[in-house]
Amino acid sequence: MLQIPGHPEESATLPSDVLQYVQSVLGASDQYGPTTSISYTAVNIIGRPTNFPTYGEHIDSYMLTTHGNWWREAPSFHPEFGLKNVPESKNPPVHDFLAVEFEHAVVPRMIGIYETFNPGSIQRIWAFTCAKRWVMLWDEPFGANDSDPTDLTSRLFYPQIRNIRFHVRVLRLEFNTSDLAYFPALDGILMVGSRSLSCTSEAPASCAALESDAPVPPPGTINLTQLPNEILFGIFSFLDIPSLSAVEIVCQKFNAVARDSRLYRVVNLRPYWMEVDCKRIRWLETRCTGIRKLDLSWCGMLTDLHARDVIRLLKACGDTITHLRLDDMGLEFADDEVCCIPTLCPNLREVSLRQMTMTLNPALLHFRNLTRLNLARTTVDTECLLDLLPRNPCLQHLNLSCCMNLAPQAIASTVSVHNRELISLNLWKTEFISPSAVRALQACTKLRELNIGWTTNGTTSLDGALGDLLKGCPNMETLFLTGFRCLQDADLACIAEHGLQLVQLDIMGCISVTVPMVERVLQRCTKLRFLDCVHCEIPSMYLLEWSVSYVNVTICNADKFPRGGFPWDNARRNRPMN
Amino acid sequence: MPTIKLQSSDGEVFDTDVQIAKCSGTIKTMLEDLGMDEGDDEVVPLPNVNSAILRKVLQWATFHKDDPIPVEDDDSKEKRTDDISSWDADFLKVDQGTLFELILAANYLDIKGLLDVTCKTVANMIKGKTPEEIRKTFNIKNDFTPAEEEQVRKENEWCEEK
Repeated sequence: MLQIPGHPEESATLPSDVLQYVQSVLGASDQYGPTTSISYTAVNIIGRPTNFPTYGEHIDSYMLTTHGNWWREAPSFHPEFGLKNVPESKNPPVHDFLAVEFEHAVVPRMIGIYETFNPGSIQRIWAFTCAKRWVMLWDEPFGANDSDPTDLTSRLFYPQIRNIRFHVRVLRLEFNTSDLAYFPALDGILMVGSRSLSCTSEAPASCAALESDAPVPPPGTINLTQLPNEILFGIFSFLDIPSLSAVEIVCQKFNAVARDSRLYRVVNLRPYWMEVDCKRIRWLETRCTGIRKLDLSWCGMLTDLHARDVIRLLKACGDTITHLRLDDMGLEFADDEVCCIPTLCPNLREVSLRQMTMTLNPALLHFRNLTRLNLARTTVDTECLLDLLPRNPCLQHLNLSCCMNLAPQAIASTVSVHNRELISLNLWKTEFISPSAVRALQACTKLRELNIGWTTNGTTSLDGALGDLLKGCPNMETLFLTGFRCLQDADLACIAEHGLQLVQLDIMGCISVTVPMVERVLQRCTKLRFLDCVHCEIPSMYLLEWSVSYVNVTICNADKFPRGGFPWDNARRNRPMN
Repeated sequence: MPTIKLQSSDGEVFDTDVQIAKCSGTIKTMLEDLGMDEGDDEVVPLPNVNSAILRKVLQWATFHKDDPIPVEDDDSKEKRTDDISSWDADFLKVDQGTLFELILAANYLDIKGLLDVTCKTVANMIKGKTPEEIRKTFNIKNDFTPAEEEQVRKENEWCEEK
């Protein structure tokens, strides 16, 4: 009989149980690096845990890239559209997902998640059943997370999962990192379950008991169907998409009113990723003529949805779309399909194609007059971008993080000539950027956010480029210089001199800086609210001291505290967020 | 404080602060167009609103008299349904007939804030329900022919899979 590791009830397995760890990764909306990298990326979730119970930032664990709400407060942040009518139960605050596959299909009895760094990020767990449907196994009401952000120990988390009667090979975890003080990391996922169905005979928990006790109105009073169409339209304009669909089946009058294309100007199906298939898209197709904003991010994972369905939708209604988000869809777009996106949607202003897996280069050539472009984690190449950027002089936000075929060098130089409206530029984890390219960006005087984290070669110093950059871009609020090993005190002096509007500064892993100069930045940059100087070889006592002296600044500290934390931590935690 | 007289469809007259009455776009326009002066003894007839509903409307308007003037909807502004204040939620704990009458009155009197909050309340009663639950909640008759019903069900299959 197998022992289930670390289970609180010490429960042994049943004879028919299988204990298994992840076999492969199906997709991740976020990971600390490009997919070609093995450090901190999602592949590390595969197999048995390697570090547990040792707590820390292990290079061979899966780490996410967000914590707290800092990313939401950066100039590049753009809230999702089309969600205001979506009930919170259908759209809990989840920001990222990881989908994994196991070798054997089992009826899951227990799921154990090895959290080796900043536990408490998991918000929901989904299972893809043998009936080809996504079923929620577990969800945590937001805010119910009881993990203490200062209690920095590993945890083997066994959520109380729902009983289901289906076999499962695929799990999907959804994350929310806003309560965390630093990046979360997972070391492994264990699924325990039976390969036969007989030993779990529990009926599935029926979802949402019907609220059928609504009082039946007394006869003679006015009925909802008697309201004029314009008023019904007004009521329906507060409905989410599945409710609109339900309303269509109620009666003829509702059906006629609910099909009005004005109810489908802004459509976000991301919260419904688990149910969106080709039928839903076809349904939408006949209703959304006149649509302005469309978000199909996350849709298409193992559901019956193909790139051609998306393209057909765009053929039907693309010409009015100004905002399009197709992030992390996991669909295989053929080159010719992608190429027609800019042609089908000639009025696009904002496009997000994060992680779109295809050779999208030719498609890009046709994009014109964009204000926002997100191509993070794609295979876009430099040549294509050099062609694209001059055609989009109004570009304000450009995200190319984790694009591996890029020469950020050339991008920065081109941007500095052709995209002077730029407000945010993200080149995180691309290739080497030279001091001259950083210096060139000073021409983008409206720049308020620059992320060049991990774009150093480790040996070239920035050579005063930061000073020129900050002189040219006086409104810089968010600056990420993560991993610039050669960042010198002289560079920090430039920041202390010219970066007076800085709100967020990340110099994590900049090992050459010294304590007095970091403190000088804290003294001079009075608007600073976030500082990540983890792995800068700054002794903990300074970090703790600063977090008391500079109460407006959240200073990241990845060090392990004794259980219960220091009194300073409470002072930090009790500080208002805004 | 200057007042005017509003007369409901069933003949009841309400002495009302002008400021409160003017939160109704309809009354405001009437007063301006007809050149009715404050303090006139003339009565403004409101033939589409009965006294029970008018009383409720005035109660709502009195509570909200200091609200900022609501801006016109546009595409960029997204609608929310979870921002109903607790006072409004309590105020709208009424039977469905009254709720719909309030909607009609708010529409006729052109009181955007009241129209919005009443429509949101009805929308919240619809949200998350299956078609059959919606029919039951609002006592609505399914008037599709079997063939039509099969057609719309097929088209809207996803809400049936709950």
